[in-house]
Amino acid sequence: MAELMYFNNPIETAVVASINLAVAMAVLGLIYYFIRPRSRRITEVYLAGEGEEIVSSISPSPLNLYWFFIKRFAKRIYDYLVGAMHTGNLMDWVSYMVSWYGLLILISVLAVIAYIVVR
Amino acid sequence: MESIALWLVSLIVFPGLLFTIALALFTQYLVRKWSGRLQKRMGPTYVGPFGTLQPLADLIKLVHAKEEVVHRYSMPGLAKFFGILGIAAGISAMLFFPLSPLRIVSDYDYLVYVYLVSIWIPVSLLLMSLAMPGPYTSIGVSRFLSFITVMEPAYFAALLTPMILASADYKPFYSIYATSITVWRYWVNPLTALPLVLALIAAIVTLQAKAMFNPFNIPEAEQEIIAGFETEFSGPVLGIASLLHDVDVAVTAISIVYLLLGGPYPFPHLSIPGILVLIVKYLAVVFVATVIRNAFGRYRLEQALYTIFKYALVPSLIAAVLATIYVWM
Repeated sequence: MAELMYFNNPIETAVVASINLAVAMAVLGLIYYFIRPRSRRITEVYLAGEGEEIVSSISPSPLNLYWFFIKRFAKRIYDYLVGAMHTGNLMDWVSYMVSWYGLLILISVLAVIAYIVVR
Repeated sequence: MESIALWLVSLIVFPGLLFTIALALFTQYLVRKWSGRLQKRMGPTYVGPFGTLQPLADLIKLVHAKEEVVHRYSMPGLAKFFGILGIAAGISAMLFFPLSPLRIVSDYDYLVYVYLVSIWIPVSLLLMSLAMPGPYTSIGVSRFLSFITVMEPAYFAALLTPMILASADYKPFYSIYATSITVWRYWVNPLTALPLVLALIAAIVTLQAKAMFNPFNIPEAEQEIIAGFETEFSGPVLGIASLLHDVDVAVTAISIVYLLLGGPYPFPHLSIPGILVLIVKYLAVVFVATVIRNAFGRYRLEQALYTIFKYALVPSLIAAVLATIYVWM
């Protein structure tokens, strides 16, 4: 009874899986269409009893996600970078930036040399 | 004609739409019942024998009987579209496992499976939430997005480990079918059992995170941020989101049972021992997830991310590296 549907490459597999997905979606959509509820109620945005004017925007900025990731999840790296730069001594900041830009220049020079040699 | 009938039966009945939804609802019942018992409660008892039909009753109530409550920023049609898309992706993924009468097989079909399960299902859930926006929803979505960055790579690497081992000896390469029917052989070799143990631990932690069971339920964080990413869901949208979540849990558990635990093998599917072994393995995976859910409280976001990183991502990567070294040797 069992049958293998064998394909030569994953592209064909992806196409067949997408067709399966579309057919399953169509069937699920039809089922939902027949059993869907008939009533709908429109309400205010719920903000713990407050009006929506108390928030400046309906959704937080994507920067929130970035800063959470950097300041919480990558806290050690963040602390190290901040600690290296923000010591209160201007020369620490200068040496940090110079070393960082120096590293970037070094990589650029090496990349150019590698390109010339390989070419 | 026969092939088309077999395809339709596989997609719509078994192990496709009907079976997947039944399995997802039954898994929800098991988690609720066992959680109830672990917390000295009865769990579902009222609908069906031993309360087994309670999740179905809840689903029908939400999708059919409850009214749809929306606010002026809501896009319930879009939310339902993405919910159905995610469920369909889970159903489509089931046809890769040897459980299916019609098995989709090719080299690297694992990548297509990952495309369906690790991309479409979480993205559908996220887009459902974003279609029903609100401040609490956005916080939940951003937390869930943070989860995905660690959880999905861990899931990918955990299931990749048996693929690496099986692809060294069997064809097609990186195929779910070939790996499922041969992975049991690698459990009896101590050199290959070690990466499989690591991958199994990683996969169980990942299942916990994908299901957003305790301690990884910070994206919904009930009471703290109302219901997180599903705060604005109600009626049919809530029912579809709940079903999508259950389908995700069921497909993830099935993937662990087949790709890491070997499904019914060495017994064939159509044999009493094979069916029993398959059921016991599935129940064991869901039971472990339920026990962990009830043994832990909620972690803060960074604690949860570190835990997934430490107990899922790192072990899964080590497992994949060990498997690769074994294959090279």
